[in-house]
Amino acid sequence: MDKYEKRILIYTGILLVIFLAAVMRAVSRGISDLPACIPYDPSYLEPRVTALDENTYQVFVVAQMWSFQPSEIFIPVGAEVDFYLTTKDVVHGFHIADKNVNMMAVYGGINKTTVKFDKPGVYPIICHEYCGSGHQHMKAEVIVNYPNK
Amino acid sequence: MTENEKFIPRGAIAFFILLALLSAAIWFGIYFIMLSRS
Repeated sequence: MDKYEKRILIYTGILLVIFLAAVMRAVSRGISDLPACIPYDPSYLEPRVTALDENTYQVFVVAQMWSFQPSEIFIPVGAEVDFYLTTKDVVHGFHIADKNVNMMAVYGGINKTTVKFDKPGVYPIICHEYCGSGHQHMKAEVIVNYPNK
Repeated sequence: MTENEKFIPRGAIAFFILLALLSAAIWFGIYFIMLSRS
């Protein structure tokens, strides 16, 4: 093999290792949360928001054609929210604007992720997986700092 | 033949370096946007 070809392979490999190390660093330090699949239970089909304490919330989101329940989620600033996501029918997407949340709602499965809302505002949730003729109407909102706390 | 043995692919090296820098810039650009959202 030509020496220049070898060098290019080595430098490309080093770059890929740097990329991988950056991802591992973010995950290991808890900077970025990876969604988890948890065992199915029918109780997750009941949409609700529960407060574990002042700053820790659980949101059980149920997707269906063509809405999310609950469609408005009110939480205080600084709250850490565990989202549990499932669907009653077909596969739906679950994306929270300005947050690293990109999950699929799958029938018979529960996906979980944790998000911290440090800034007040309205964070739209949209379905980003085409799910039928009403797909574009499928949205919800996380309202942070309502009422002022 | 002697000229071929001394040939150094400067253009390809420069292109590779630019490509690697561009890839790193795009990749880390997206990476830090995602970290700022978490």
